[in-house]
Amino acid sequence: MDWEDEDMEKKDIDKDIDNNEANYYDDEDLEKYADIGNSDWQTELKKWELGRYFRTVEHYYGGRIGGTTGERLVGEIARTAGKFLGSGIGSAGGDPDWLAEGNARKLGRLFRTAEHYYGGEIRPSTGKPLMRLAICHSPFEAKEEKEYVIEELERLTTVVRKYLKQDIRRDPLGQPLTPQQGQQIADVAKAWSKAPYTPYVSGGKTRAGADCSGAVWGIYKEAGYPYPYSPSVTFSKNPYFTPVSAPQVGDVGLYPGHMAIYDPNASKGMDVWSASRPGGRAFGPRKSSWYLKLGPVQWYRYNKPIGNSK
Amino acid sequence: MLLIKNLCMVAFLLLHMATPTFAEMDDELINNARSAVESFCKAEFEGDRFDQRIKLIKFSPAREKKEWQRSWPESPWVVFWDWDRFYIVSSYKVVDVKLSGKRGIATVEYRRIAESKGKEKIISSYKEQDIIKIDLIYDGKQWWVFDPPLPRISLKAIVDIYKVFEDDLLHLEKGWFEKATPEQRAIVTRKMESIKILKSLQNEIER
Repeated sequence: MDWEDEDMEKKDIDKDIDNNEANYYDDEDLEKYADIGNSDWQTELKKWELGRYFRTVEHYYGGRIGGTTGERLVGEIARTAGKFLGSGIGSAGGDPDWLAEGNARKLGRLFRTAEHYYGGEIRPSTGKPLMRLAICHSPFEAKEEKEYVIEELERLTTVVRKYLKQDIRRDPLGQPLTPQQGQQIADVAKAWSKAPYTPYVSGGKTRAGADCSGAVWGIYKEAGYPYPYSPSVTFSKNPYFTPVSAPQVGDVGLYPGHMAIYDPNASKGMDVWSASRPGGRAFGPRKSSWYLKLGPVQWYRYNKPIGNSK
Repeated sequence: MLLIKNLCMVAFLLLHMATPTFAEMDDELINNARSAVESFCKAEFEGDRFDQRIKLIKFSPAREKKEWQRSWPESPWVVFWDWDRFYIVSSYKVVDVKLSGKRGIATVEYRRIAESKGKEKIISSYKEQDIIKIDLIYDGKQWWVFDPPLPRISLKAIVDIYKVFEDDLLHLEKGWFEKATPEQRAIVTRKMESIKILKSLQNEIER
């Protein structure tokens, strides 16, 4: 599913939420949700705000929020999100600039981390649209309000760090791809390079034809590690990948305008799998040093979402 | 007076023995230049794609731009032996190296067997004596091959490269043709034809 599909899905869900708005004020539900978290935030937050927030979260999870693990984290997120919600959840909202400033990625991760604590199934659309839902509908247009939101995000990050006992930027879920899983990706890449071969097709994402970013996306998907598609220009902001200093098999190498999959055993002397260019050679093994004229490489590692059994 | 004259003679002789003559310096430069050409020819002959070429070849800005257009996103120094234009040869011999200041010209004699017109179109193209001039340039540290001619690979090296494809094609699923796209069919057909031609060239050489 790519971001455009997710936007469509979000619109549909917004519509559902609007249609069921009356349900958000159901006292029975609110009683139940009030049991989650600690007393500090309960006193600060109106019950109906929290109830509404959790209903939204559940909507995206496709299941009820349950369990007591990480409830404080949930509380912290809910408190912050509650402040953003204001009134009129589900109404039309804007798309603040700061979403494009790397905060989307950060919040997406926060929510994925929250999901980890919930034990709920991860859905590709969860993090970003949920965050958008929480943020886009909040009445902040003035500069100071935007700064306040960013401050709040930083606070959330600190909370998550405290729970995970590690730096969120390195590994928010604690589940980056292992070398064995990376090898699965490399094996699919190898299969793509075999007869009847994968010709370069601009915008293509399958074995029948792919460009560089499409090939990476298609191979990850086929190997069981899907992510929202990003071309090379926006790949660095993809919330499913974390920058790493040294590559391991299966990692993505991002060059200015180009992408490849790392595999030190791709072929004799070759260490990446890549598509070429329009009218060029078929997908196959290459050498990472061949791309250095494009600019320096940044390696990225997939953060395996919870719920993926592979 | 005679003693001073003799001492001067001895000093001159010692100095002469300690420092290389112009002729010796020329020899050293020519040897270095010849060695650069030998390394270049050997690297191509053995099917080097990049590792040696980057250490031996200098491009003019105009040529580098042209090569970059050919090779993007890969380096302009990369040769794709299954895609680019090149010649297939059975032997090479560096016949002569002439230097003039920081420039030079090497003459290399190849025995040509075939050529690739690009995009895996290999055709037979025999030439007993293919004499090629290779430009050289000295940067004060080493001699470089400057804006080289089309690469020349040995038949053995290109056959080895195509061996991988030959193995691939043996494992094609039944009914692949119906499932494949026209582009995929074209790639497979080109590779099959190239392998066929390379095999017939091998047979001719062996005879």
